[in-house]
Amino acid sequence: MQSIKLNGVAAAVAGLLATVVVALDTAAACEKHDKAAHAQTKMTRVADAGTTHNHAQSHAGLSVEKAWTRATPPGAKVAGGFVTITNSGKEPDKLVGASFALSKSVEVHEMTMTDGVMRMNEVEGGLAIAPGTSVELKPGSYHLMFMDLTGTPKESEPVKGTLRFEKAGEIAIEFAVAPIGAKSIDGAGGNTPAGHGHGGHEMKHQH
Amino acid sequence: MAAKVSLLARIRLVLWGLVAVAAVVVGALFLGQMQEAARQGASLPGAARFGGDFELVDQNSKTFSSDSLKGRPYAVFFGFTHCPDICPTTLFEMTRHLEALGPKADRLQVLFITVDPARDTPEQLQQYLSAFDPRIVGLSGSEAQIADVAKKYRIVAEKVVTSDGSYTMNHTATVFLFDGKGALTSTLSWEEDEKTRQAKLQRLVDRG
Ligand SMILES: [Cu+2]
Repeated sequence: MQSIKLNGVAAAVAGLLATVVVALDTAAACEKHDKAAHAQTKMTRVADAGTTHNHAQSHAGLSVEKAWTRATPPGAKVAGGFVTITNSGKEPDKLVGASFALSKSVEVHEMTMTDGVMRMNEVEGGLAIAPGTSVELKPGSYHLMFMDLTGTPKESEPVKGTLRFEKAGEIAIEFAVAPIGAKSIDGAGGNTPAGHGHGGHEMKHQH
Repeated sequence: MAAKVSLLARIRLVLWGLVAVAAVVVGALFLGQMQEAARQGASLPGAARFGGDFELVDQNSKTFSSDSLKGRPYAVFFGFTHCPDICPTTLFEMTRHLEALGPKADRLQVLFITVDPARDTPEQLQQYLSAFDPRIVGLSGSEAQIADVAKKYRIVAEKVVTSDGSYTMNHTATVFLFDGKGALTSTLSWEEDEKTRQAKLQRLVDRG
């Protein structure tokens, strides 16, 4: 019993000390991070200026496919959206925002699972899509977070939306709706109306 | 500026040194305890205390006491209905598992405890859970009651504010499996395949 108490006290002391040190570290890191963020903002602006002339070209290289979401249980206020974005162009781009016909707002999130703990964070400053790469927003990873649903996504009833990119601008898409619990777009089944394929395959540019 | 930094650096070094010393002390004490427990043939310190009694409110607004779990195996996991991915998916999977267990599923009590009682009222849980197996019990309570259960099950539950001024929850997503004696026997994880999870649940209900 005595040893348990001692153990507790020692652990508390260690914890407290560690907290102080971590706080010091965090303060130092924040300072560094701020500086880095400033630098990045400047770089982005320079890049923007450089691409103004060939704006049309810059989104020729960006393609969006396999956009899907899931049917939600009754009373659900949020949903996750998934999509694959491929940048076959020569310039980096960024997914900076999105819209979904059945939600008030959309955020770009990253989910992680560490030792059984699910964590979700907003992707600060947009999700980078490097040239020659493909980024898959999928369950358990990056996703669009549909916040404040104004309606219920129903299985096999595609929902319209848009993706907004820093350079390519706005791209209209359609999210196929898979059943609750689906792990991939294949769960969306082949019931989407003819001509729409899997909903997400079709895309249009609009400005 | 440089002098300031080096002073900070020195303080950090000293503090880390103290952390190391304290950690060694904790380790030594803990080891001693373990050896003592091993001599007495006991389980790992703390294992018997995982979980514990609670009284919450179910989705029908009725009091649910952990006493009603005595003598039957149960599966418990934590989540919230403002969850885009893992919570509805886990509820869906539990629904499928119960279906696959057949009549034996009636022995198993499945509990979904909210980590967001402010928004997950019994009414909200009732509506949300209507999409899943009706045998799944959803539990809410006061902030204090939920904090108490979360502590007993060592659940991480942290509020994260989103840019629209709302919030989401980071939380432990593991499903904990308890046998009829109330002892933690296994867990289900998101990374496991369906077969593995089903086999664990099958063993749990077979044993009773
Ligand atoms: Cu999210």
